[in-house]
Amino acid sequence: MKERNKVLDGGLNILDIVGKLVLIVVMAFPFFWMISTALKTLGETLLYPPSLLPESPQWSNFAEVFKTIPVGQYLVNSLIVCVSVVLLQYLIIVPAAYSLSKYDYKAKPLVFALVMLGQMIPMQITFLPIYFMFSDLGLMDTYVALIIPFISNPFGIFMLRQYFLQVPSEVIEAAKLDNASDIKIMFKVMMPMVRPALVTIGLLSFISNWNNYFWPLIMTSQDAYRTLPIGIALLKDADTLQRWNIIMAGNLLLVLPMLGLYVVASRKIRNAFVYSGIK
Amino acid sequence: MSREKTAVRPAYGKNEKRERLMGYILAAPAVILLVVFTVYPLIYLIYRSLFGGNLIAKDPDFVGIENYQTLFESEDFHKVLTNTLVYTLITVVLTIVLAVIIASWLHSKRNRKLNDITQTFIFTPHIISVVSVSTLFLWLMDSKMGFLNSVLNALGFDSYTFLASPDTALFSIALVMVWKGLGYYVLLIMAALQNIPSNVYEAAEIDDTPKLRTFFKITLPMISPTILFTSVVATISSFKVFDSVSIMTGGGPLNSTNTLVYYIYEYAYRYGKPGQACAAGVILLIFVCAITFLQFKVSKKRVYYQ
Repeated sequence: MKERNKVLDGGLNILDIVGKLVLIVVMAFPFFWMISTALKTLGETLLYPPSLLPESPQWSNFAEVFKTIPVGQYLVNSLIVCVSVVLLQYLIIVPAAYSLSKYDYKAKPLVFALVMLGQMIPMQITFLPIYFMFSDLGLMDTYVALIIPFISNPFGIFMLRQYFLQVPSEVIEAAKLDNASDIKIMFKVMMPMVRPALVTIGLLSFISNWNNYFWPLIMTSQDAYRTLPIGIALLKDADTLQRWNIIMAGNLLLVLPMLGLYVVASRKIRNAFVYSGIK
Repeated sequence: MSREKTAVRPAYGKNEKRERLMGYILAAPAVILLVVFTVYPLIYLIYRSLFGGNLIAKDPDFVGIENYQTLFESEDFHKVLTNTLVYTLITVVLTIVLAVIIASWLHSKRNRKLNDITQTFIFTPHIISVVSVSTLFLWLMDSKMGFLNSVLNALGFDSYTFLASPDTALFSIALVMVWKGLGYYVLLIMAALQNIPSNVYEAAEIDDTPKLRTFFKITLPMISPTILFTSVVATISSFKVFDSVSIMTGGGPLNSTNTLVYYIYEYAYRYGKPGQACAAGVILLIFVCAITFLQFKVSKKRVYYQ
């Protein structure tokens, strides 16, 4: 009887391992296919049924991407936008979160409600009015249009507020006794205490801005301000021959930085997303 | 003496005023930005939906609810609403059911190391741009040259039409987005599973309750708040689907994948009818508010809280 249980358990164990490996393949194979296609010759991409691996890797496909679209310009634009949003947002959200956690004033519930509203309403609803506003102000095709709407990051305010609430008020009182100004307390005393939250917020907003397609699609029409996702999406249309090896090589340029970041900080990134989901 | 007093109760007299003022000053930049980029656009969206005109005209004429009437009389818009609802239903149900099953599976004690690796892989697509995921699947799902059909053929099946036919395109996009988003929901549900106190299971273990019964009677009710929350998140994110539609099908074939946000985008920029686009935007706004409201209602009533 015991012997039979053991056999059954061994069988279940193998089933369990096989199942999980299948799951891994389902998730990983498309990425493998992207890399494999990106290194094939045009002829190899036209084979059916397709070959799994290129005969010899065609690194020149990446050079071909650079010849087809101004990737360098897109990349610089993406970096400018992502870095600006990540850094500038702290100037907005740290004071707001500090105000919401450690000060008392009449309109506080209203301010908090505003933050919640900001978190609830997606940009797919507000984009048209913002487009009209930016058109009137002559802000279309500018970095400002790509950066400003994201620096009041309501999720960031919400998360930081939670962290600030946990900092005991005695810490602030002690600093006040030393005659430190409110601004100094905020930046020199409070900010270092919530560093993990600041990192989480920075990571999440970097990732979402790097991947953002919708917003720059609406706000830009010139290569001078287009970001990488727009450029890479254009590559598919620009390449009238549908050279899938070149298209995949271009997409790899968009994907690899994120994959690299994920390899380095997988747990940190996942924890950040767990936080963003649980609140 | 007085110094000690201020130390204990800083919000006092003159200080209190200063304190209040400081609170306002610190919140002001965020408040201004949120008003400019959330509150004002919402008001303007509703206002603009009552006007005709085109993208360039400075003074569009007031048309009242005509834009809404046009929308509801338009067969295209009916199709768009149906597409959006069907897409949302497929995506949310598949995502949540799969996520609960996979999360429970990876939460089990068997092969712990493999669990962690599997979870790492499942989550990967979530941090990849929809642009690349969509383009990649456009290639994988190509009806003539695609890898997926070569697998189907090798297994003796006919080629599947995927994105090429109006009957299968919407479902194919939904599948891609489930693949992309699944890991995020698995992650959230696993976090909920980890928070169930182990003593809850002790009684069941003593009674030798079958595992499946334990799952339905204990585990599922315990994580129901998370399931509700993730369903709401998934529903809203499905409602605003745009990137994948724009890249994989452009709304076609035969309007079969035209969804609400894509419709708004096209009506504003391609057909130059911002009034009608704004009216459709208001409808999206109503959907999002309704779902959020529903979440509040249901979460108060039905769901198990500790």
